[in-house]
Amino acid sequence: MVEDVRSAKKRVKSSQVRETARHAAKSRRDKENDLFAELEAEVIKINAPNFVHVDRITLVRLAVTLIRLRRCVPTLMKTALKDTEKKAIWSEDQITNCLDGFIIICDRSGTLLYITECVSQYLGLNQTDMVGQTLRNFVNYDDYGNFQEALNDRGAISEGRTIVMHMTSVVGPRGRKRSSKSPIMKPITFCLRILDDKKTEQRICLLLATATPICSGGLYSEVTSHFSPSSTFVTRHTCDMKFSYADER
Amino acid sequence: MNRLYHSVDYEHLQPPPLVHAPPSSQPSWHAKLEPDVTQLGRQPDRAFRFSSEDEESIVGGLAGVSMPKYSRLEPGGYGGDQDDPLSSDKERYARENHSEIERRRRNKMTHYINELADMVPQCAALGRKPDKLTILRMAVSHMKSIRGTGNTNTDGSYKPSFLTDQELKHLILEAANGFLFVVSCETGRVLYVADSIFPVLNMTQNDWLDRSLYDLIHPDDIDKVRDQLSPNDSNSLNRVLDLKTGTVKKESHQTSIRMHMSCRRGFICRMRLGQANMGVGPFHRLRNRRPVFTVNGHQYVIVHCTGYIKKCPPQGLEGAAEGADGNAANSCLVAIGRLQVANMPPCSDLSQPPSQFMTRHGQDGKFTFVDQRVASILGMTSQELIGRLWWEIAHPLDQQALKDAFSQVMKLKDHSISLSCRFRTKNGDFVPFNVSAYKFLNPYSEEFEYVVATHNLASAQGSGESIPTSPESYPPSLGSGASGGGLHNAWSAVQSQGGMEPYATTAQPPPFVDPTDAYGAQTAPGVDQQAPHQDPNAQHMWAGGYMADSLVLPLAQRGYGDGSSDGASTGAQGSDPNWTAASAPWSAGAVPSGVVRSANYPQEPR
Repeated sequence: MVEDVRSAKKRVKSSQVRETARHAAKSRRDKENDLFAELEAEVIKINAPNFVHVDRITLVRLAVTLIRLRRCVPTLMKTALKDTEKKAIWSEDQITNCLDGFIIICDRSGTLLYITECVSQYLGLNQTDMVGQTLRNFVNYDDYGNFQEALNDRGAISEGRTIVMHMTSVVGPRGRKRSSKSPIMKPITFCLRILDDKKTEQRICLLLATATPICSGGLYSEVTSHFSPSSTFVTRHTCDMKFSYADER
Repeated sequence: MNRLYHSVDYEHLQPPPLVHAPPSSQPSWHAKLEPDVTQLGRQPDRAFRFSSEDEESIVGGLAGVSMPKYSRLEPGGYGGDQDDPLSSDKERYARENHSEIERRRRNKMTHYINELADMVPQCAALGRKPDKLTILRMAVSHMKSIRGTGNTNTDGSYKPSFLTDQELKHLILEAANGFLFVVSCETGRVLYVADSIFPVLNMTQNDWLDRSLYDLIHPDDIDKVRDQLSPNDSNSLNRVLDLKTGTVKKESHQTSIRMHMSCRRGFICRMRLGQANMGVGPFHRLRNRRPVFTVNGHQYVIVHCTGYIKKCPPQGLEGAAEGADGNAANSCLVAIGRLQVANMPPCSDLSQPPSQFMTRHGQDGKFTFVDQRVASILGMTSQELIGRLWWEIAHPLDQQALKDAFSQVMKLKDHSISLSCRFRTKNGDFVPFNVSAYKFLNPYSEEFEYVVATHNLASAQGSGESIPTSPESYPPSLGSGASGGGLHNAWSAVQSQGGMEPYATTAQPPPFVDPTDAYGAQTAPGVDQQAPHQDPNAQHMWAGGYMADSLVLPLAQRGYGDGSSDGASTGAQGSDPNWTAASAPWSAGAVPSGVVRSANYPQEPR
């Protein structure tokens, strides 16, 4: 009997405790919601054409990336030219429309800091899907090794070089959208340039993927990045094995 | 309510009751409950603790309630006392799966929140690890403080974006060596050009603005560019082919936001360079590797332009367009012009004279192909040699050995044979060579194609002083004087600079490139006007690489004269255009089995 009373009391007390805890949690959640909403306003372009709901993890990831990008951009992406430009010309849409390819900025560790929106035309993946992730998630394992090698190559800092990487793509052969669960790998040629700032030790690399006219000499460099460049040469054949192209080597 | 109560209490029930506990509802409750309580800030490792707790409770729950997953494998075995073991199993797996997903999600969130805390300076300044709400609050305020200036909507509100316009301009400049320009279609007048043209072409904005584009490009390219600038017939532009009926319909309304593909333009033209005052820094983008054309004292470089035709000039340019033409509804081309830097293969070192040449032989031992390096080594052109027997040019004492070796090679399937042999030069001397030969079989049909023989000069001292360990140390070709030898066509000009055809095994330009047009506008649109979903970089190719592993052969350090330039031309003429046009000149000999490695790229059906 006594036990019963005690347990009943306990129950009442614990339900009170739970009540207050619930209130606390609720107000905390509300605050969190507000903060996330604010963050969203900071991060996402609301009027983006492909705007969909962005979940919180993505939001935080984008925020992190944005801060990171902002941190290195002012030092590394300064133009020596005066800012006498009309602003409307250089919108991201312009680039999307003009450039027949996409540009990636990624940092030393391979985190994608920025990728132009038009990547969705080529890979079917959205800017928001990719930004903040590491490049490794989108690139064939072996190619990523090559990429890292290229990152440490001094030549890329001044000259720029070409590498080929197989990137995941959810755009199928005929422009059909595939499921993101079963992406295909597409070989893509990148021009790699590295921007380096000695003072702050920051280094980002720019990857430009564009169409190159067929047979503009790109074939060679595409293939040599797969094999060792010194011992390779490239030929192109018609169906009957006749040479239709052989590179200069 | 009841379930909540139950699950809270559950933590105190040490061993989960076997019978009356609803089979492991606890773990899933944990999963749902915990993330809300997570105040990661206060205890940084808390999330991990949670996850491990989760794991324990799941495992405990499973072990206590019924059994691990293997029960599924023995249907009749354990859990037979339950009413419906299969469905409860299923339920449990679903729950397990769900909690796994949830845990992963939480961990991810924690990871990014922690990263955010690291990145936001205010958080780092706090010393202790702030909680999640604080982190978020500080992050928001930090991001407000660092937002780029100039990214405002028309109504003045902040428009978030990753890069400011200036930075985008710089990005294009750095990544693509490109600049944006706007040209009026009718007149060819330049309406706008970005100031980043200066580092690219060494021209200032004023050099371009209000000039005609046709004045700024190579005279030969004017027609092509004019074609590109002509806006499409507006009728055809709005018409779509109805696939069902096969008729052309007029599109009534612009449904797609995406630009109509016929508006896209892509062409290559030569653009004028500013007067070269090489001392000035920005010119470095045009370094040596670029073909520069000079006409009438003006220099031109190849610029790849991609862009689209717009019906009316972009915002901010209406005034400029109107001012000159009095016609605001002027279609214009908005394009990015970019230099193609990295597409040029690096120039290999051509200074050393060759010490090696390659030949191919038919079944009877006759030369079917001799590369042009033979000219500088033996003094004979490849033309002279083709059709003769291999052993004809060998030293009389070596002839039999060579014949034997050849028949040996023909018998063996996968082996290469090497021997030393002396060959006669033009003036009758004999030069010792190390010869390695192997039989090349067509990888498709497995039929005999030819015998490939690599001749390496054996140095006069017997074994050379320097033994290169990799084939790359073999100078691949002739002196740089070889440049223009057989290749006076646009193809070589586009592909590489004059002196960069180090080893021209094809005398002909690739047949699918019309040399007169090779870098004309016609080739490029074919690439660029593909539908956007098509990856423009996935070119069809079937690339074969002959791999040479490390090859140790003595390299003769003999100085050969500069009689190389005629070697190029003769070699180019002599090479058989049909099939024997190319081989792996200095590496094939290193492949003992004649391995053909082919890279079969994933192909995109067009």
